[in-house]
Amino acid sequence: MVSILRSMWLMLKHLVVRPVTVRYPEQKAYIPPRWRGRIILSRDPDGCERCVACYLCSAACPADCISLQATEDEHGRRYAEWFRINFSRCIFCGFCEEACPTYAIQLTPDFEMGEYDRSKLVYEKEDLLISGQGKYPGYNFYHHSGVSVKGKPRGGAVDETHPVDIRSLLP
Amino acid sequence: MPTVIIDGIEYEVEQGRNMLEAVLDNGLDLPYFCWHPAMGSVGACRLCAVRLYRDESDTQGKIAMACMTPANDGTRISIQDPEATEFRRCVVEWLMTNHPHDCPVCDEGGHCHLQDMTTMCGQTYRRFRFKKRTYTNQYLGPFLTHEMNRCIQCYRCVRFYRDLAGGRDFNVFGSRNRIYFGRQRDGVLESEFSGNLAEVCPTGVFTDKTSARHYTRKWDLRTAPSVCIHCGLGCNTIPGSRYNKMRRIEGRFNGDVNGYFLCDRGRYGYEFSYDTIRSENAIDDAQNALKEAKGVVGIGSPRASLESNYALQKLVGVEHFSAGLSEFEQEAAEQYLSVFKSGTAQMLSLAEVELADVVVVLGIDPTGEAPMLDFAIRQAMRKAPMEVARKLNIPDWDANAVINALNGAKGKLYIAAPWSIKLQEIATEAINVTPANVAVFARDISRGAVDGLASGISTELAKAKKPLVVTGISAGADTILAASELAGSIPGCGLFVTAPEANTLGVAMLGGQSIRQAVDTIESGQADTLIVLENDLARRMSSPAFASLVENVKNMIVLDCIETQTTRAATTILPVATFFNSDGAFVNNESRAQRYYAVDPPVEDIPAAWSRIRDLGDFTWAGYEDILRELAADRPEFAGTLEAAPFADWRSTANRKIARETHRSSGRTSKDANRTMREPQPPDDAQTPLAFSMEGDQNPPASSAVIPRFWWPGWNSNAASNKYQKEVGAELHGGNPGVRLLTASGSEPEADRDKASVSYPQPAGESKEIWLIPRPYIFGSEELSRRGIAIGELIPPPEAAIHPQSAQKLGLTDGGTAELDFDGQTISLPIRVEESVAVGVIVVPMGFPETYGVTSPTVARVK
Repeated sequence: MVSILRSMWLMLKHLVVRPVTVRYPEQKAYIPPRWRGRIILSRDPDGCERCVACYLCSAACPADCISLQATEDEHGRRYAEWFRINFSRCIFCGFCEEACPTYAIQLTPDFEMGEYDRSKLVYEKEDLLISGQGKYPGYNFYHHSGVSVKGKPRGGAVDETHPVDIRSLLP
Repeated sequence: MPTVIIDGIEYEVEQGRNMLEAVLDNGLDLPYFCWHPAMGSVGACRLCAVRLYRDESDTQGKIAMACMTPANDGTRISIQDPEATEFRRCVVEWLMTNHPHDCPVCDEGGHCHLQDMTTMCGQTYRRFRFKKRTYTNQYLGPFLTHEMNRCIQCYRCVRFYRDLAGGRDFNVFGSRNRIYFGRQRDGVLESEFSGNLAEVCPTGVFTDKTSARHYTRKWDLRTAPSVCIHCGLGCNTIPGSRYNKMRRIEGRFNGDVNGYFLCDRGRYGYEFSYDTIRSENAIDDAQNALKEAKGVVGIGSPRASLESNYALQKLVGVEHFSAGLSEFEQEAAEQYLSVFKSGTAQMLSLAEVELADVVVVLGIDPTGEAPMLDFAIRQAMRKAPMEVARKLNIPDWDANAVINALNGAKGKLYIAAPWSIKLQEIATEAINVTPANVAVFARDISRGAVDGLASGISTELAKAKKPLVVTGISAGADTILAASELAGSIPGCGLFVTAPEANTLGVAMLGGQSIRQAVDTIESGQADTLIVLENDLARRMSSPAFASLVENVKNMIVLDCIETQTTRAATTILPVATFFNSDGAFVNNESRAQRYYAVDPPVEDIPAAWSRIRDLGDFTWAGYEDILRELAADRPEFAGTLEAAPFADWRSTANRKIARETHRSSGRTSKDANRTMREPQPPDDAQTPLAFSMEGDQNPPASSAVIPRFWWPGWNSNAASNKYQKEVGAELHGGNPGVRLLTASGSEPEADRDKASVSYPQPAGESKEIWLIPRPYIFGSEELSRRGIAIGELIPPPEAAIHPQSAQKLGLTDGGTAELDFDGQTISLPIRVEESVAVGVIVVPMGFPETYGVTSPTVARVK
């Protein structure tokens, strides 16, 4: 008898308590910026692709779901000829982001990727590449690397001196 | 054997080693940069610092460089000593003050000796907060990218390029911290071995430019043990592929053949695999053609595997099989085999060439034909006077001290060839004579000419400790015979005979008709169907003969992977897998049978040539190994091929196959996702003890013939090969791969002088007649490699070279055009008048489309 009354009381109390569920999808839940969701490829402050196709993300990936092919342009800038992530295999661990030396690959607070067809979960480079810098604004790998690219001559990086004159006889 | 004490533990080492070698020989780790097993020590990088103790009672010790410390009996060092460890870490930290932040965009990353050594020394963070020094780069040709910012000044490149490879257009410039390694000005590197700089450089200053177009990290490459297909020396290689496309080739250490290095043709020739034929499966047409045929003739190929050639021989019968060599080559190869079997001279391996002190080169151009022989002869000349240094108690590994002690002394090298070959720059004496006179010259030496050069050479050969005579199948039967007589007349003299193509000796051993006889069979109407196996007949006979053959044959079934004049003339084309997609065996110039394994499974179901031939006939072979077994049973001299490498049922000590992919290979669930979501099962390889996937043993295999790559924990670069060797730089564990098939039986060499004279038709003395000689070029003369993109850039322009005297006699002028009439065909080429060719000859490039039909020295009429 006591237990029945207690159950009734609990039920009646919930008629006046505010519900915790939200009216998704009309109403979105708060997702923190460092949430590990859909993976994107970002661009550097100059608007060029950040990815230099170093293969570290694909090596770090425990699900082996990243594959790419490196190539380089006529000025020596490395980029991915194609870049593919199979999100039907991705476990959103974020190892790729951690391995990325150029802040190119980033995980974003977006999880709404449901598809009826698994093959639609295979994202190619054009699906992954965004036009902004993502979470890490301001970084440009080529301004720290020793190689020259279009717009950055030899010795033009941060913390680099001008190329030495090898014919100089000065001590 | 001396006993050394390393960190309190006693180890035995070979006599005459240094402490760095002693450490590595015993499987211990010690970082190093400037030392290289093939180049010795110079003590430049200061990285292999250890604490060296005077004796047991010495507790203080001193820091010393292991690579400059002889491993004498009782030498006592400590690697783990805290001060030595900190010293090594500091050295790396200093190097890193200027090393750029490049690893993600550096092609060396993932197989970088600098990365490995930095990690091994425990240096992780750059504390130096000041600016980095930079350099401008140079254009060094289509093979290598130059990125000087990455340089750590170890001097390995310049030591390799100048001291070992004999190059002169590359050096070290500048002073203090502006030291620069490069050329005086931008330009293509002249050395034929420049590609090795990419492997010799411990970091990414020199990287493979061809692989940069489609770059793949070492951990993603699918690799297999292979043999170079671009000449007859049989250098061991490791081709790497990714997404079923060839990416690069690196050397595979074989202490009996090529050692650590490769020539540029072998390293960059792989690009031919991008341009292969794909055509309809016409196997039914071919089968019907064979059913209706009135006699079938099969022509094999020196660039096809032993299995494919033997399968074809079984299909058409020995009496209708031709080895696919030109008349001249066939005759010379047969002469070589009979000389080999007779045992008149000791047949040396490529590694043994490096030990010779007096070398006589007769009638061949090693640089153009078999470049690694050029390299081996250079090593022989470099090492020959080593006795001088030994007398001064300088160990062989002390590279700079040896150079100073020798003071430019070299071994003796004599050359007789129709044109000035590149080796002439280090030759003691060289003469340019006609091919027939090369043999005459050789006989002059062996029969003791009383004066002149021949007499001088004869005296030197008699004095030599390890004399050597070098010739080749391309020099002709008579020269081979003369060379063998010469080598046989001197006690202890070695003989080295090159073969033009990867399997020339293999097909010559299989035997059969010459290509001429095979064509005659067709033209006389005894047979109307021809099967051609991976052979471009237009390269091996004169153009009218080829045209007449095409006209007379009813059905020409051609199996090939590339498009050639022969495939264009074929009635039925059966595309076959390329060398990189098939398994088989080659027999190199010193009769060493070596197996090569497919890197990738066949593309688009294009099978290997042997399986095409199986389908044409009534055979039950399940794999190429069945053919090999049948061959060995049928022909006992091929029994050695069975021991050359393990069979498909072989398993590693962990009872697994050997994995072609590394354990870090990436992208498995993504690389095919654009085509299918099913994640296809990795292709099975029932033919070999290797697996196409990463599933299998990753440890060094017990059999050295199936080493798919050199890798060891902490050693990602090719320097990991030290873990695969008994002693560093010496033999691999399990012996160097390959088995020599021929042994000397002591029989007299068959010498048919009349036949030999046929190989050198003499000019009739008519004023307009001249010797027409094909000259092999490293880039352009070999059929497959000339299709490569990078090598294609370096093919010289087709020109006919002639001596001023001959030019004057024939009324030819420099820059004019020579129209040469021979064997019923005419070729016309621009003329280059130069003194570097013999009088009475006109030298044209071999194997160029402009010179098809010039298969051997012949007599031409100048129009």
